[in-house]
Amino acid sequence: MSGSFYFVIVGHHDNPVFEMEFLPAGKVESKDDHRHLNQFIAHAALDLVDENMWLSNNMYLKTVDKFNEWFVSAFVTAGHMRFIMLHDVRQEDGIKNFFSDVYDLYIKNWEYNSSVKHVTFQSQILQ
Amino acid sequence: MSVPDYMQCAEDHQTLLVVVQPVGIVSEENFFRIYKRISSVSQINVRDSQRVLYIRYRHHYPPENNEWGDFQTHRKVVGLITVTDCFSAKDWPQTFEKFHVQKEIYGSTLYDSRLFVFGLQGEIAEQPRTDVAFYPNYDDCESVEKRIEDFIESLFIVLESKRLDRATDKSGDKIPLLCVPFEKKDFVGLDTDSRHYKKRCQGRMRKHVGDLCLQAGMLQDSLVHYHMSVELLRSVNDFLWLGAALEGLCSASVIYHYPGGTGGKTGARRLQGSSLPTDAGNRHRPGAQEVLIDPGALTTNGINADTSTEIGRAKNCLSPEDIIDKYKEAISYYSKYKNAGVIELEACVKAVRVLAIQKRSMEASEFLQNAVYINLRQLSEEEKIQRYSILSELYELIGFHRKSAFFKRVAAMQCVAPSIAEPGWRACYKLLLETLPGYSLSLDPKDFNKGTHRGWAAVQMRLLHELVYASRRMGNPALSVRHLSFLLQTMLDFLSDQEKKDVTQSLESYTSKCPGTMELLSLPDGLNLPPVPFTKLPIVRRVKLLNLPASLRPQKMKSLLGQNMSTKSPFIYSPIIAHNRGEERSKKIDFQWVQGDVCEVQLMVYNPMPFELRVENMGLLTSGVEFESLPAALSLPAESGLYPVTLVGVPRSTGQITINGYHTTVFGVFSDCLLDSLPGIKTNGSTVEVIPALPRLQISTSLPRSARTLQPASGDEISTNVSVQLYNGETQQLDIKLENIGTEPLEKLEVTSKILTTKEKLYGDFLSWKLEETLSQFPLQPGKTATFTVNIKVKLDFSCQENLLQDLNDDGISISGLPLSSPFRQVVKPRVESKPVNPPESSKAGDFSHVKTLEAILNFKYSGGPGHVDGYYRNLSLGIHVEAEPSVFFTRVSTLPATSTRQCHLLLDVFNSTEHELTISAKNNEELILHAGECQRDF
Repeated sequence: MSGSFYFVIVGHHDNPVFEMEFLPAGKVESKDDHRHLNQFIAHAALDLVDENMWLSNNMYLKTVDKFNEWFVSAFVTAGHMRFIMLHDVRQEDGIKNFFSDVYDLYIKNWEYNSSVKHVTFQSQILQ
Repeated sequence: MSVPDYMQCAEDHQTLLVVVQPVGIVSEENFFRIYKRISSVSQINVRDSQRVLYIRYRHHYPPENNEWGDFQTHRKVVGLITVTDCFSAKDWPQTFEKFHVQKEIYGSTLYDSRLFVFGLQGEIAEQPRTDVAFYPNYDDCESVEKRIEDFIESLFIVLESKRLDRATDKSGDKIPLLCVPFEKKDFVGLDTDSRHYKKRCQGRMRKHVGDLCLQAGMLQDSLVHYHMSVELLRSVNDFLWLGAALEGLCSASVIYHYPGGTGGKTGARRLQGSSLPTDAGNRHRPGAQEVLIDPGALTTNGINADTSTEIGRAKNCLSPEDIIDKYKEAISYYSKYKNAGVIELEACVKAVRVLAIQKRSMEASEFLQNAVYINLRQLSEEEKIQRYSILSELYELIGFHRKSAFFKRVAAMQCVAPSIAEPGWRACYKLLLETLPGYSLSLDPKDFNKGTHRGWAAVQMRLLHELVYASRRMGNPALSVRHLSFLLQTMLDFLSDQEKKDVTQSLESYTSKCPGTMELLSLPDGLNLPPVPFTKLPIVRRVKLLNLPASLRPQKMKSLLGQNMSTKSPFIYSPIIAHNRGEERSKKIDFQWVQGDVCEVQLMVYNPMPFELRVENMGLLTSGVEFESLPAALSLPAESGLYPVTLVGVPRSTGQITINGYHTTVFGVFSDCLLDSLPGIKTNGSTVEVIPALPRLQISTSLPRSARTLQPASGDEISTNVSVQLYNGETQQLDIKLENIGTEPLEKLEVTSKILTTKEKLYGDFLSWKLEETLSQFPLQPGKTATFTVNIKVKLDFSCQENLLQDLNDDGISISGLPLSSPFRQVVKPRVESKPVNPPESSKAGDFSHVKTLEAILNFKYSGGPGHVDGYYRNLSLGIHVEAEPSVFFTRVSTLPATSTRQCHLLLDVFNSTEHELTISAKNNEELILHAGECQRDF
């Protein structure tokens, strides 16, 4: 992966239940401010996700929003959990595959709308 | 053109732009008073026709925008009204000169202008002039509105003449090429005779006529002209103007479809004002009417008069869907020109407003997304703020609250960008506050008690931190404290341990200068910040009102209770009443507190913080009764378990007292926590009756206190116990000192005793007293003491003890029913040292078996003061524990034959187990012997 990514699963009350950042190899730690910006962008994109999900039959909604260098792609599960991915490079297929992989994991070991600190989940996603 | 007007909407295309400006020194207040009155004349029904003119007033308009007036005529300043102060005729020429200078600025486009002069009186003011109006002062100018109406009519005449002039241009005449400022140099040296050029001229002119028609209230004609123009311009690829023609078409269609307007508030006002004309318009559109009146204007241009028919109208007017398509197309053409950025941006804004009405938010958001990335030029910070604010407003309009909040926050951040010399913290704060709903945040902590947390906690916390910071920079520490308290209270679950520490530290540093209060903070713009009680610091799990200790518990006299019952209801029993009482019980507690006596409430609390929590000034909040709360300070260890805290206070009057909650001071923030608003709290009720004050009795005795507590039979508790050891038959005097330690006089005293169930047979009075002597000292004033003497007399049956019988068995004679002897005590002396004397005498292991225990309770029922009047009394119990030992032992029993065979002598070896001399006396020696003999015979 070359660009930066920020992935979040958002619950029914706009509450994040799982957050994760992927940074390119060179970049070490993202600044705290940067993390907040990601969250704000992802939050703002929820409006578009919520509109888009009714216009598509697919769970994968492609890129729904953008802000400055960030693209926002989304994926909505049947239970209306929203997967949001912020990315600074266009990489549709990769993100689509990632979403469906995460969805598989999600179905297997997720509790309803709960925020679970899944260390295993996290490691599984990374693989 | 560089300054976009973000407030534009499609309807603005039909308006005439009038600039109202002050000249010279006019106070802002006066100017805006007049401006308000002028701008109230925003639409005029032109005489003799059904057409309506709409006027758009501006008090500021950049002249470079005016240069685009040929492109879209609503951008052209056609009227100028100047307002000036002039107090002497001497100044008049100068003032008039200024008016002319002002006119020059917009000179090329003005149709007409007016000057309003305030203050000038006399000769000059009396000359009747059309272009100048004189008023003595700002209060005395009733005719302003009338003047404006006349002015607008004169504008209309010019507009109408221009329209007719342009519209009737014969196609053979040379049509001038209209162009926008940046095009001028491009057309130098172009072949003006080519077909292409002519078409271009025609198309642009046609579009221009369309604009004029729209402004003149001839909607139908304008549609026709726009359509024509679109065709012409499309054929010559004149994209910029094609875009304008398309937009004109859209505007006209929007005006037709949405008479209510798309511009939000202004639209609504317009709707009110224009309700009559639009109603009329539904039957025959003003434009259509005009076409019928003056068809020649069209036919001369080769357009069929048919367009005015209903069919034509439906064809010419765009459908709601088409409007959006055409807007898209227009915007795509605009976007080809860098210099038309403002036009593009404004078109986006207009399209969004239309889409908002059509409730097509997805498409609207596409337009907005596009608008975000239109690069005008290097924007000033202020323009950036304006731009983000308007984006936010538009997103709000289409229902994208989160998106709206996002841009509003960006605008807020822009207000305090490092590049700004004087950061606008106040503006930043105001904008941030407006973002809160979009982030599911309210400023009322009560909203967070309801179930699950809503919204993105990390984002909300960030926002609250920003509010805290902004309010601090604004110089309003009370706001900072309030927001920080709110953060701590509502986001506690989401704060990490480190964050908890950081937040509390900064809160403490703020409160050291400005303590947090429970008052509603009002912001200048009318918003109120409700107080934030720290109901989670500490968390209270259970609230329990405690009864008074047994000895202080008030009791109701039986007879009076009966009376009370009978006054409540005529029935002895009624299910309704019983039911009501049951309901009351859910809140009311069945014990009473007494006025003037300390009462207690126990809270089970715990500290959710990872460090020690200091709670100061913790006390009760009550209502109904005057209550003196005695606050406590406590320190709870880090993440403590449930920890009991007792809050105390003294009711100072009588009635129903309700414990509403408690108050605390934590980290310098005062909190009033009401029980009703605490989630998941357990309580045994919160209302208690406070009865009038009663005296308090304290007793002390001459005997040592006993560690043993009696097990009372019927639930009443013993406050004091005394114990005493007595030999059988001994009498001990117990001196009881009664002290009134309360504040009310002790008026009544009743003493009763109760001997606890014992198997022993008791002879005579165990306890006896004479109350009269004590009562003679009554009423006992507070602080006074009285004495009360009780005689304890032990008279027990010690016979039938096994070791005695064993002795008797030696002779084969069994004896029982030995009456106890009655020892007389010569010396009264504490028995303590005598105790170890007797055990060695008895050989058997069960030497304690001849110690018998007697227990009794002495009840003092007392009352006095106002409590007595209300029929209450208190009960104090004294437990008496007596260990009785036999004073004599019959160590040996034997019989001797007597002289008569029917009699025998009973020989008793008597051992005195006491240290004292004692006399054994049978009542009648002879009789005793005789009886004894009879006994023996019986057995």
